[in-house]
Amino acid sequence: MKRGIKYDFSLLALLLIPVGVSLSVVGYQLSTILKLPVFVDQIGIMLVSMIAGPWVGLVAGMLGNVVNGMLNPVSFGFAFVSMALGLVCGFMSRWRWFTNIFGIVIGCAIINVVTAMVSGVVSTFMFGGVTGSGTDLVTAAFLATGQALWTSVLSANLLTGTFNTIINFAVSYIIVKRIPDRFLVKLNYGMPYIKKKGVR
Amino acid sequence: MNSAIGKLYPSTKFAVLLLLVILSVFTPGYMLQYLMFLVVLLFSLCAGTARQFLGTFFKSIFIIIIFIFAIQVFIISNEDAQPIWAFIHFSQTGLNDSLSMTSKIVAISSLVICFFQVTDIKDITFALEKSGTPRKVTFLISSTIQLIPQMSALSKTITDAQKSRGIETEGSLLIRAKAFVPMLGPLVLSSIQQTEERMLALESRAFSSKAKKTSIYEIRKKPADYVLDILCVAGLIAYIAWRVM
Repeated sequence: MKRGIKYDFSLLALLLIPVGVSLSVVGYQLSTILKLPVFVDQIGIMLVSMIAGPWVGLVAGMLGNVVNGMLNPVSFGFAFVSMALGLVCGFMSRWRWFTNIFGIVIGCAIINVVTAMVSGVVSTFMFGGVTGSGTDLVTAAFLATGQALWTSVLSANLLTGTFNTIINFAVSYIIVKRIPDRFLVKLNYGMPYIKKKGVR
Repeated sequence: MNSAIGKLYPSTKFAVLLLLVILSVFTPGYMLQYLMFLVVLLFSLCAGTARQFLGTFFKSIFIIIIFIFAIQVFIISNEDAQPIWAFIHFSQTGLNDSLSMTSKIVAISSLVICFFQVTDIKDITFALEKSGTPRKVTFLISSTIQLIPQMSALSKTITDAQKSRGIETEGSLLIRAKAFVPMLGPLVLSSIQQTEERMLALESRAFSSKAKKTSIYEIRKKPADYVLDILCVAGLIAYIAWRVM
């Protein structure tokens, strides 16, 4: 099948980007309402990149952080994290990793490592190891044991990111599975998630 | 947005923003950068957005700055660290580092916050479109900004509906976590349905057509915009000349 950036950005995929961005915002609001310990604020990006491809996921991630950045400019810096997440998640979906449990586990691990690395680089070089969220306390704990800044930031990100990635992925995967087939067929990357047998 | 600053053309405001950001990034020390905060405060006083500006600033940037100071000065073990208590120690290098880092963060983020408070998104997308940005990009920006409040309102409705059907939103962690998918699922499905409808509506209004489009909303550059543009370029050249000499 012919695939390129232009092929990815169909009008339907384009219209999914705002939906993904606002889903992330709503997910964040809901997790504060329900007082959950992790912020489910990546479902939108994961969902969009799973069903609309890596490049659309990258744009959704960037746009989400830019919109947040209008109120809190710190999130401009962390746009790279969301962009990396969208890209990695989209490529895995394109390679049909998310159709079996083995691929899902490996995929989540890779997503976690990639986002932790990018977020570590951004927070170390732009904000001196600080992200402005609960992760900072974990970073401080690692630092207090006498470790260097970079290793502390990275290990704190890996640790908190594991829960975050698993929960975000689980929620978005459940939702993708609930999307009706007649919508999935219209999307360029919806094929692996179609439930009806014999279509694939 | 009805003030003199708010009525400027978006690209003019952006030029001023860019000049001030360049000034604060490339000037050594931290006095100028902290001073930039007061300059921005003055701007927003003139534009009548000072209260919003201070509110946003203290809610977001101020917290991260405190964290940076706490971690860099008291927790990271630099070579010149003097122990205070247990793992807490004071370090002069950390203080210098965090001063130079936070000053830049304060300057740039207060500029950005102020820019978005005095500029209407509608104006930004109009100016972008006029300067030749693809229509898809500007549509994406404006529709995202419009959709977020709509979606949160819809999510409130769905939450209330699910609560009236007896979903538990209080109790142990597991119970609260279980409530998450029923609250989010209908939102996703209905918004996906809306996406399809919106696509049909856009196509029937010739969104994908290559023809040149006219806008019902117009803003024009005024003489003040041209003067400010020239002043910004002159200021940039003067600054580069001063730094190089």
